[in-house]
Amino acid sequence: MAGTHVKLIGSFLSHLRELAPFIIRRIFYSIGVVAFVSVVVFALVSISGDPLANLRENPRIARSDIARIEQRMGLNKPKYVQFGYWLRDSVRGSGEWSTSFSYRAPVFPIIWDRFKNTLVLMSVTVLVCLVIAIPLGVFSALRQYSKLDYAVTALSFFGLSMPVFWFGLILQLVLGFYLMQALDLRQPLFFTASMYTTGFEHDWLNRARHLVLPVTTLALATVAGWSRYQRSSMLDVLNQDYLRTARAKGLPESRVIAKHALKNALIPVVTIVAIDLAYLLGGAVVTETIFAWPGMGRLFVQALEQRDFPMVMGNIIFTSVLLVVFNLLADVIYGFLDPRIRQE
Amino acid sequence: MADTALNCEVPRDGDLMLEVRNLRTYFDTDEGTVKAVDGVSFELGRGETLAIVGESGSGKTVTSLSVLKLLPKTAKIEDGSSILFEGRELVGISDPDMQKIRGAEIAMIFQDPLTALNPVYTVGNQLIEAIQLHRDMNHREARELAIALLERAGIPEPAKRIDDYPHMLSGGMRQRAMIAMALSCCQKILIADEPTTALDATIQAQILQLMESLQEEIGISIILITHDLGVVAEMADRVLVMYGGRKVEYAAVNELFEHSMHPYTWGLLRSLPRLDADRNAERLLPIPGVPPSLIHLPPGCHFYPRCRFRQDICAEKYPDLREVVPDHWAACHFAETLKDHDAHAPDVELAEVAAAPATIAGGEDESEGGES
Amino acid sequence: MMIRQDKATEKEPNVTTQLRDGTEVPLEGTDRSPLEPGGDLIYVAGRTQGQMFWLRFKRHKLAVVSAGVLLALYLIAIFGPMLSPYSFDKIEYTGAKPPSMSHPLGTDELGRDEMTRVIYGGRISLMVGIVVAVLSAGIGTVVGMIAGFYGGRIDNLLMRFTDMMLALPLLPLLMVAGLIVADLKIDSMWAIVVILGLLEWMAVARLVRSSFLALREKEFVEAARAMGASDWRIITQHLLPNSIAPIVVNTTLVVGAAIIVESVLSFLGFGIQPPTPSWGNMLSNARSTMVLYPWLMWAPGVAIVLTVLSVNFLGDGLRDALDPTQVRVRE
Repeated sequence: MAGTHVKLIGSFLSHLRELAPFIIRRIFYSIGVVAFVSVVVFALVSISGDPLANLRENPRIARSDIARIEQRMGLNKPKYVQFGYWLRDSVRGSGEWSTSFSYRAPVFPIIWDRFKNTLVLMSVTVLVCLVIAIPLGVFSALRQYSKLDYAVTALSFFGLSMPVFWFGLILQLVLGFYLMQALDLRQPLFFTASMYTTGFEHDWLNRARHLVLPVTTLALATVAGWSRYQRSSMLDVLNQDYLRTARAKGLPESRVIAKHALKNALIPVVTIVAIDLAYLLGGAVVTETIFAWPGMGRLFVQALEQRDFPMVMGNIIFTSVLLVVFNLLADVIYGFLDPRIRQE
Repeated sequence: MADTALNCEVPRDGDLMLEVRNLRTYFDTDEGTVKAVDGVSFELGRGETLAIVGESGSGKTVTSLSVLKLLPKTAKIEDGSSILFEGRELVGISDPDMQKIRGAEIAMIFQDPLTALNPVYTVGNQLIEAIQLHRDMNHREARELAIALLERAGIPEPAKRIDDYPHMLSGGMRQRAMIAMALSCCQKILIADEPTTALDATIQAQILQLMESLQEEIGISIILITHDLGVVAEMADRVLVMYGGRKVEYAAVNELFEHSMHPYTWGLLRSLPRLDADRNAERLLPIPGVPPSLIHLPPGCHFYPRCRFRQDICAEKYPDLREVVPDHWAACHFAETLKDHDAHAPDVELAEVAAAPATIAGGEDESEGGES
Repeated sequence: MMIRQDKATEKEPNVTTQLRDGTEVPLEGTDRSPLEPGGDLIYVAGRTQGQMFWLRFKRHKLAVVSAGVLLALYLIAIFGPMLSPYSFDKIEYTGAKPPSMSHPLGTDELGRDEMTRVIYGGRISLMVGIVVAVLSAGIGTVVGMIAGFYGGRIDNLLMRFTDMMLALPLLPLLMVAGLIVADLKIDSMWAIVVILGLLEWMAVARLVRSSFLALREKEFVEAARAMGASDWRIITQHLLPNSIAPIVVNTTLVVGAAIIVESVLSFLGFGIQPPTPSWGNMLSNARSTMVLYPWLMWAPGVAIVLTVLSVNFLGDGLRDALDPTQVRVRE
């Protein structure tokens, strides 16, 4: 068995090697994409008038400091020059365009710090969703038109139609507050805010109780989408001729499904999962806001509210890069799993 | 010690390989019951090739799927049907028992080898799977056998090809790989559903040759499903012509080609171009119209709307299948008349046929001509 | 099922047949043999495309119900405010009250009638949904048409552009835009609608493009060209009608997506600004007093769910009804 795993890794690595020219081309393309995004966002941001307006109103900051910042950011120069300044500062990771107005500290370390929190939330969410959605989709397809299928479809529709933030709020109210009252506890069973209670940073139970509600909130829509996709992918596969060949060979039905159908059905889903993961990692802005989760999404909202433009820009660029990386990863994995694509 | 396909031999004596009696397979759909196969019977001897001929929708594929019980859930083999494989009744046996027969004793290959093979597994993987399913071999032995089978099936460099994915092989190669799978366990019957339709003409001939040589060497029986009479002429010993889910003609191949008795078969023969035809006298006659819907079947002969000899009697009463001449069955009220005419002769006059006394199955005495 | 079979005559019979689910369908004669003049022999039900669409659509009871619900919602949104005795922004200072006879959904902390506000909010949301959908469908169709019809470098260029647009992070961008709009005091609703429309067209463009690319190669296009049809005529008469189905389905679903996006934006404060009620900003309000006045949390949320659910069911039903490749039986 170990032998097959080693073989798998080996063939994945050789697959990567084969794809090297493709990957390099994609990286260049991706840089272009990120550049495009940053131009668009910068253009928007620069419409908003004086970026330093908030700072000027802050009595604790000296006029001379503000003048200095203005000069370093090139605010008196044309917009495209400012963009150049921003580019330079972002690449260097320091300089005025890469320094948060609110924190008075470089932008990227702060983002990275928050990103780790988002990562925690999202990893748990993705794991839970995979475990639920894939079997749901597969079994819905196998028992098409059964009660299970209709129930799952109805639930998916519901999950896809439900605004995430409202669901989160309801969960807070019902499972957070009302449950606490009903069980007559002093603290909510499922916490409704933050990652952990102060002082309990290393108590994994405490952390778990903080995770339940936000993960459930995110999971509803995600499971809804993934299970539907898995279901339709599986249905497509179940119609294929090669399953008939497998049966004609005398394979028992369970093997036909488990070996021949499943692998084909999982491949398209992998792409969806990878891309959704990218979006999730960009920070589920709304969920993090509602549950006061100290992640990237919440950071972004706060930065916007505080007109902290360097942070806003830095955040968006970080998200773009993430998206692009995961798209590439999705394509590479898809190519690895489906031999027909490999030859490109 | 692994024994290869080359060591297989199907014993020449024994029961008839396959005996199908009154097979009826109906599908249950929103719009009604589809009578895909409606009372078909035939026999398959040892080392023999039976060709089942018909258009799409005639029920030929469903017939073969019924033998192997590979039908979708909406289909049901009706009571009264019987399928005897070497004397053993297949209708009604349990799934596990059927699985032991499928692939091990009766094999089937399909029309489009690209979609018939799983694209995410290598050819070798799928071949070895078939081998290990029914034979007691470890992986190494199975792989050796697989390579030998690929070679016997005419695939060059089998040791390399075995690790290829299906899309890497050409259409002909894929079909050869399918044939290799069909031989992996010394199977006794090979059902080939339009095996060459998706292939180039030159490759077609090669595949047919391969099947013939395997039959000579091993003695397998073949059921060949096709709509191509050229293929039939080359390979078949007996022919079963199907139309609208029913058997309309059944005879030995030479007898069928020379003395066909059913207008549909005539139509098929006439639509084949012949090198020796007199250009002026005979024109290619395609059969006009479309195949019947298998839900809304007319009470009379299924071929009535498209038959150039049709009479009123044909619309009213179904012409049951009868043995017009020893070992040659046909389902037509006017089979006797047609028997004496050459299918390829310049247009047989309608009047001739109409005037001839019809031998109506069931022996009812009706004045000719009927109502007009 | 009644099938009457006529002998070789020239009568034109009037026959109908019944399908299993009880619908009656007229039979039209077909299958005349060219060798024999005269009447029909076997009847096969003949239906137009429109009839087929309705038959399939009616099967989806849920989609039909949803269509009804949506119609009702739109009617309420248009006419509701006239029927309500309250205004949506008159502040009463009576404090928040739970649901009662005079205020079926209660009032918010400024004494405003919740029901009226929900209806007004519905106006905004439903309007946003439709306009964004139509706008994005329009842009997307045009882009897709050009790319799919002309192919080659134009296609390449347009598709690269589409991919770039797809790479833009939707929500963050909208939030920034929403902020700008609020700061500049532009009317938030139309700004949101325009920006959303500019960001949602890509999916339609791809659908139309692939449809055009596929259809372009078909013979009927060649035939039309041979008869001297101009490009424009080919596009509008032949290619476009055959590509309608995915556009319709996608556009329907975009309505739902747009409503949700708008509500999220408004909830976060980057969308419709108060005092104009939107389901999103009403929920944001309700959030701060969630425990004290729980009734304020339900109405706007349920409204959103109901609307989007109906839209999604409708879209699903449309997709099934417009897709002729549904096969239930394999032979």
